[in-house]
Amino acid sequence: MQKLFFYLLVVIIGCSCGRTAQQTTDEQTPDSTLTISYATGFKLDYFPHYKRITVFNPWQKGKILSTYYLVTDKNTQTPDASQTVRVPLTKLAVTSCTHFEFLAVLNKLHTVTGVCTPELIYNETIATAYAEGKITSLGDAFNTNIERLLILQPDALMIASYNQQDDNAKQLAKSRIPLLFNNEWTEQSLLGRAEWIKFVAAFYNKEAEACQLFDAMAERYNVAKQVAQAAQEKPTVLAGGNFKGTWYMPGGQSYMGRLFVDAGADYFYANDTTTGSLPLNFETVLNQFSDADIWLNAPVATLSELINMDERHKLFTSAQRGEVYGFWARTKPSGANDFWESAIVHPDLVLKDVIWALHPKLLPDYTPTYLIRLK
Amino acid sequence: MNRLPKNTLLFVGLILLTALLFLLDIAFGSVRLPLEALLSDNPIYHEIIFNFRLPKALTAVITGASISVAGLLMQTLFRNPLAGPYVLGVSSGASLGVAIFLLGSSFLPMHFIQSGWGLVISAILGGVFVLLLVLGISFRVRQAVSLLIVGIMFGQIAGSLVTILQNSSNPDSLKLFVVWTFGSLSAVSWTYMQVMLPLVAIGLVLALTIQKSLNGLLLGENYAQGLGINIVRTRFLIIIAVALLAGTTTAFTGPIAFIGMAVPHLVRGLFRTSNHRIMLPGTMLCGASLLLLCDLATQLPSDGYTLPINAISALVGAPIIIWIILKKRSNS
Repeated sequence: MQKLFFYLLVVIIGCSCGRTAQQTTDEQTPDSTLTISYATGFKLDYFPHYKRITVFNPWQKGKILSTYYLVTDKNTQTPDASQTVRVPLTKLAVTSCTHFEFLAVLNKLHTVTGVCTPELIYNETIATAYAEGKITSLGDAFNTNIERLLILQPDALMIASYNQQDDNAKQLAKSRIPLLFNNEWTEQSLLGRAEWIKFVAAFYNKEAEACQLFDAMAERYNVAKQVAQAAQEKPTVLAGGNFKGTWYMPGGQSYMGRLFVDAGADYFYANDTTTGSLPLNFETVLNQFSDADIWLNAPVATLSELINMDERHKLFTSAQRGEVYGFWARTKPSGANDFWESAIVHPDLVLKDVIWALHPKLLPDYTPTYLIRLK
Repeated sequence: MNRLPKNTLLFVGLILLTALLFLLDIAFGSVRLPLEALLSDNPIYHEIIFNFRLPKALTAVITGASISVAGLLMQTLFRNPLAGPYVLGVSSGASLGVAIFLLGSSFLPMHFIQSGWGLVISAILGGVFVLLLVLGISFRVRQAVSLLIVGIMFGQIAGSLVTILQNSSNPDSLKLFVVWTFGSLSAVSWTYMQVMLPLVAIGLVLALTIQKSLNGLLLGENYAQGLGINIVRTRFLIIIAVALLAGTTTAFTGPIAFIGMAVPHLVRGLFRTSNHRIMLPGTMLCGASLLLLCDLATQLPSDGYTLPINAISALVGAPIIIWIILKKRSNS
């Protein structure tokens, strides 16, 4: 019996290896390629009759996660018919609320017909349309309701890949509705995240507009960054909070860690190579950050909540002096927070917000968009 | 002789009930389809019914029957009414496999990760690994109850390793793992079914072939030995059958709580017998219909969400167990 089980396993593994070999090869060289300056997760090539978008695997360098062929005429021949998407999209379902602002700045929000976790959406247009019954709820983004998706029949479903091994995405693929992997969150810089606007725009034939919007925004970001770099003093910062003994501190190469440095902060882990967050214990954090000048990205919206969360938070100089800031300016009682939505497409505003906290003298009359000083 | 017609009647009733629930499970989902949709040639309706609801309902039947039979086998082996299909650590082992796969996949080979079978194979490997350990120990310990404790301890060890993995994982991978532990009947596609069905069928046939030894075990191991039953061999076969039944279904659907423990009690109460000739088919039918019922209940929310099957099965199963314990108290 054991042997039988073993043989069956061998057969299963054998089958599975055969399946991975299907990769479309595309011999042609593209006419032109869209310039991507900061994002590393995708590329966009132009061919005579179609556009090709390649989304790279965020976890394996150089490997491709998905390739899309964008055509305007459905009769156009492409190397892979199953990955062909007719554009511009007229009906789009979106599983992550981080993708709405891309559509909003491109004036394409009205094409959204389905969303996940509608109660956590900040965007007013989407929230209103959902309340009016014009948008369908597809349930949880990690456990998307396939039956509803099938009835809805959008032109495509925009999702994010959360893990190399994503069973939900595999389930969704069975619906044969094209899955557009918008992996903005895997980028390690704010500008890289925002540049995914070009990815979204390609599905609406609005690349020119997207490039214009992005270039202007990157310009504003870089100008603000230069101003901050010129500051004489660089305040020391800490971030996050103690949750049941673990303090998640942004890694040096994470978008948050890089944001601190761009805004002219002295961040202890600036030269660390971690792209995610560092799970630290309380002692390490206290030892290193107890006299940090400014506390950024606080996990709660008020000082009293910060102390209630862990009364030892009082031990930090920044907390005693009330120099604690968090991205809590635009929230809803349901828990929706616009920092996770529209801020992704407005990195220049996020950077200026942090500069305002670190170097108030540099931006005297500035009103922050997402950041507040905790009271 | 008098009993036979009553049992036949009960079996016919259970078969009809299972069939009815099976049809209801296909008719009701998270989208309300018109009744004619079952026969219409609308490609979307066709897709929903034949590629999503039908395999899901079949999975409910197969899984319900398998884990209930596995529960019955464990209760007989350990002569303990609270034993269930997962006491030997199958589901903990499977969780460990899945946790390594989802949370620690950076060190696994790439083509393994990208194949659609990675999750299932990890769960099977994890479950089989723990069961092989238990099996190895089963030859060394005489007392069945020691084996039970060993199984529970292995489960704890696997659980601790999972916790360590979770501690250093990012929130998104964690959520994927947590969603797996919720259980899902809809994860089984027709392709998966082609592997799941034969494995489970072997387990069920194996269980049916050892009914005599199982009945002997009910009298206690010494009596069974006196009747000429080879205890070590029977134990071995029971563990293999449970591995196939509980291990396979856990690999494809995730853990399903309490059904496997509760159903054998229901069937004993229904047929008023412990004879495995009656119990085994009764348990299969009862388990299938109970899990179909649970699956129907997961569709209750109307706003696009579905409830996790593992929570519903516990909500249904746990009160049955409490009722059994209370009833035992009042009897004794």
